[in-house]
Amino acid sequence: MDLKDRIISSYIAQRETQIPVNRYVHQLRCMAIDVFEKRGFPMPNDEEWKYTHLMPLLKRDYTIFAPQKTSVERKDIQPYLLDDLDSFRLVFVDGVYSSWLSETTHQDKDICVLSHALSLKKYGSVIENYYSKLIPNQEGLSALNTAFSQDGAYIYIPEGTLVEKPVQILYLSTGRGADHTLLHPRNLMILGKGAHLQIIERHHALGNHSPLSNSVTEIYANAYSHLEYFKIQNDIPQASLIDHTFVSQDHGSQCSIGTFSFGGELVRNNLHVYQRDQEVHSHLNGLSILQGESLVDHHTLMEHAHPNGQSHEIYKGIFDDKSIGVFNGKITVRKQAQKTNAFQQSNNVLLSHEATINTKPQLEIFADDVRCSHGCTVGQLNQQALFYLRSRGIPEKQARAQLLFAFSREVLEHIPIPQLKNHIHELIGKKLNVHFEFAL
Amino acid sequence: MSKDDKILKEVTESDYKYGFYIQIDSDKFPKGLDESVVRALSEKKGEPEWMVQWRLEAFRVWKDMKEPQWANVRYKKPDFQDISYYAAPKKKTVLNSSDEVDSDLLDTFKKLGISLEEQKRLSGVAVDIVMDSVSVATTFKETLAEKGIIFCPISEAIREHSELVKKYIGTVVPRTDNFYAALNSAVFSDGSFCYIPKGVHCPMELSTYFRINEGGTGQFERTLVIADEGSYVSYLEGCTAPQRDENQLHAAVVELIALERSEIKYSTVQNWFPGDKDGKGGVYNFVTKRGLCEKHAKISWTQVETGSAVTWKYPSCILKGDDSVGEFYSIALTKNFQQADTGTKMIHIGKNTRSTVISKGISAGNSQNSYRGLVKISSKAQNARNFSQCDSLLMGNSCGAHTFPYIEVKNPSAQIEHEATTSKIGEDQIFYCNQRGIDDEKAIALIVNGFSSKVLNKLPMEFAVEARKLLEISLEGSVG
Repeated sequence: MDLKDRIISSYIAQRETQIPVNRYVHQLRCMAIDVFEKRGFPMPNDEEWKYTHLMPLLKRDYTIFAPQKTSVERKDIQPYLLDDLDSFRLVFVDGVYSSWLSETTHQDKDICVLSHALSLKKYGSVIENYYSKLIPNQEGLSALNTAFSQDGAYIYIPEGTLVEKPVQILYLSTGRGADHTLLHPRNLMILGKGAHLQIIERHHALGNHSPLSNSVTEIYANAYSHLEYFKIQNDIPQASLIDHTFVSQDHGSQCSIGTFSFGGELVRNNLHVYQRDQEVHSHLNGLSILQGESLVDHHTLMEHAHPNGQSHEIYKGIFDDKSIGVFNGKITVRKQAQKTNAFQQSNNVLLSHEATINTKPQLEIFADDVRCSHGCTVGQLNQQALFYLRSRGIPEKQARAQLLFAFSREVLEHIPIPQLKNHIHELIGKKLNVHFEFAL
Repeated sequence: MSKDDKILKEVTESDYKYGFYIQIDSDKFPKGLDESVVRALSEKKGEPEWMVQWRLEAFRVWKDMKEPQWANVRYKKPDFQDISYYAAPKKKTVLNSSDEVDSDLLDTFKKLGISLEEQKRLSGVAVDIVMDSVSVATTFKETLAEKGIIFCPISEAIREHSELVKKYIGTVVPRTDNFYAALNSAVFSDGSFCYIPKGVHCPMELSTYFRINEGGTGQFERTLVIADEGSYVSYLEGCTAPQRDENQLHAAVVELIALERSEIKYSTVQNWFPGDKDGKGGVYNFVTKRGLCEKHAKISWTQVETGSAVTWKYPSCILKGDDSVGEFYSIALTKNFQQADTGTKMIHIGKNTRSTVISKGISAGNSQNSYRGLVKISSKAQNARNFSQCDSLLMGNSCGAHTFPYIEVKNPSAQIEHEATTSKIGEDQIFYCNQRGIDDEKAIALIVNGFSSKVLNKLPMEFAVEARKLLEISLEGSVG
């Protein structure tokens, strides 16, 4: 029996044991499993998955339900949280919320877990208005998540609230009792009018197993709200992640989403940003530094549907060993979206003969009074610059790292949290195998 | 209506100049396609047995293929059984000079602005003219023959230069390549064949003129250009069709073979009937064009696309030899309900290979204009270099411009740059011109010309004038 069939049959089996949810959610799940049954996993002949093949992953014998109640020591998770940063924390272990590792709040805002929101009556109307509304109708993987997701972050920030400290969301998998686990984290975030929120999200595997996370995040940024979202993807080389993030932006809102991919076997980031009203600003940044046999695929869709929108995308990649980088950046400008200013840039450096980069920037424009541009480059280190540094006594390894760091800097400039900036700085140093003596 | 709107309206409604139909007695196959049609076609052409078999195999492959769906165009699928696969002006005997050409035909060419005699005397361009399914006239054959250059209809080449055709046909565009290439391989009726011997610099531009005249026919021409070691040739191609309500199918295959150190420059001005302003009729232009470069060879594609209801065309270069060079310069202008999905593929295989892609798209009216390109650097292609630029200009807000550039790199020494922009003609640009006493319409012409100049400059002299005129006609109303 292949994975798809096993998933569908186990869905039916698990129905009875599920945490009770309201009728709306129950219906959604039933519909979602039908969609998944119809669509299944994306195949290589799917244009959207042309360069990223899931087949080798799907051949594995996944445990569809992670063994419940695994305990994790505080010291185990230390390296994956920014400890010196005062923050709200949401920690999930094998898909289950771990209250004693977390710090949540209900004080004039909700920063808590989705399973509560789905089951408690008082959240009913919010859930019915927002949950699962941004997911494309006929897409197999996000439907799979809707059908199976048990938990994740639920964040509701009311009008005019500034969240005083960042929220860290950490998904851990322990692999206890199973070598291959399938996880379906699910987040829902709603920012009220003029609210401000910062989020740091991370998925990490403890130990030596190979989990596949199929994560979905829905974000609603209402008028004039401001969201800063950072994803750190520095997982162990056997772990895979398929992330779907859907952002709906209302009038005058600002969103900036930074994705830092440094590891994992296969990482796919589907990032869809819909500009639902005028004067919206969106910033998408990405940095990939890959070694080994990692594959990172950034798949962005920027949709301008109303006038005076702005978007700015910068994706940088450094690929060594046998790593593969994929970038597919699509910008759609609808007829009404006059005076749109959309910019997209993808710069890549290949360091090894076996590394590959596939990029496909894509513009689809239906409005005439717009300014849209994209640029894409693939190259290598400038030998003259390297020589210049070496002639001044900087060892080759250090010189290369400095040049690569300079190449990535544009993406790092937009990180407003100093601790996070330092942490990413350190990660880059580790990745490039040097210690930078200068501060950011 | 504001002035801008008026100009746009005029732009989108200007008429097609070449829409006439001349009654010429023609010999036409009944509609439909099966093996017997392929055989009959081959027989008509007096082809050797290997060619018949080659065609039949292509036909068998085609039968099992499906039409490609991936292009960003919408159209009614042609009914392949409702097309006549062969039409030829009657009364055709072997012609030795243009004086012997049928007077009706000569009239046609005069209307098209090609006077055979004049061409002969003044411009020094050798022309091969293909009307419907056959080549009707080839000029300058003798002059070229002195240099050892073969320039003749491909049907003649199959008979008389069989070994050359057999060696190269289908090597760059295999019969199995795609749906329309397979169809073409099975039923191509004529086209041009050109062979430039070793070390010969072709003394004049070679030109083929294609015209669809008959209704209910499809045109399937096949062009094969072989430049032997160290040779040079510049090749031009033009096309028109009468104005009809039906959608006529044109599925051509062009193969270029550039052997060591040779250079082929291939220019196209495509002006098939684009359909009327309501989007009715027009030619479906589904063309496969590809060139193969050996060591130090260079292939340069230049195209000006203004016609056709639906265009689906990707002139490509396979840079197989070390130090080979591929170039692609394109202007695609769409208006009314035209749809164009065009671009190029640059496949870098050899070391130190270079390619340049410049694509300019101008969309007006309700048209959709797409650029679709691939730059592929294989793992052995050391020091490959590519520069791509695709710019789109939008006129009016009912049209669309799209870009789909694919870039696949497997070699760390490659340097790839790609950039694309989309914009409209800036009010400040027009204002600047106005200030200096240039009126709106002239200003738009100036800006569009400037926008396209990088490509126009690459065209051979005779063509550049024609292309500029064509752009002006197509933009008529905005240019005076």
